Amino acid sequence: LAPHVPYFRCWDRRISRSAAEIWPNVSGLGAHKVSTATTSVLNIEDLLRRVDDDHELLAELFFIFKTVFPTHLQHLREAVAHKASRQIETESHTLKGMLLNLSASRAAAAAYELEQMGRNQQLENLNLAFTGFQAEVEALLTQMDGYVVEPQP
Amino acid sequence: MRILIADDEEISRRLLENTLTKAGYDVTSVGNGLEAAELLCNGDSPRLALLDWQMPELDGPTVCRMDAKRKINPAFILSG
Repeated sequence: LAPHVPYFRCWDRRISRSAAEIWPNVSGLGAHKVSTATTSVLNIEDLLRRVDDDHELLAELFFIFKTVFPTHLQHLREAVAHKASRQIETESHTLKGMLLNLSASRAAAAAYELEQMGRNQQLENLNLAFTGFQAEVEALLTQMDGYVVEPQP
Repeated sequence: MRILIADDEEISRRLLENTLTKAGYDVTSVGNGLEAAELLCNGDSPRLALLDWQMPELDGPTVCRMDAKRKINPAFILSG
């Protein structure tokens, strides 16, 4: 399994251990913060590597995301409105995993920030963080819509 | 070799399923712990189970511990 397995859920634990080590250049995670303008919303090259250049699978993943994301976002919105720390943590954790699997590191970083707020029950900047997360995901969805799946030879 | 994937997060499940299938494994995937536990009670259940830690119905560690009804005890890998 060795050549195939590293692409997957191991990311979750790695983030929990040392986000700054994993993504030193992702805004909000590392000591060396960079402008989000310099980081792509969707790293399509990385994502294509992840799916072995399978454009059909890529289209399927985008479809799954667009189908399930609104429900997760609604749950997160409700959790934020009620300042429900545990729900904020679990929903953000789920969203972070999905976004990482889609090589959407900026949105994943924003989800991670919310997850940490929920876990540590530090909710002072919660609304600001949630607004930031929504902006990142809106940009991601726009980029997904603009991505044309090329026909397989 | 048959492998069971149990994960409620569909994108993760689909990616893993795709990679393992391309690598030549016979993959069965389910979206919650209860389905995983039921499948593992079958006589011809997979010998390796990749389980998400947190899942609806039953979580991964609980599925691992439910060995009384299993004819075969597979190897488990949990992720969270």
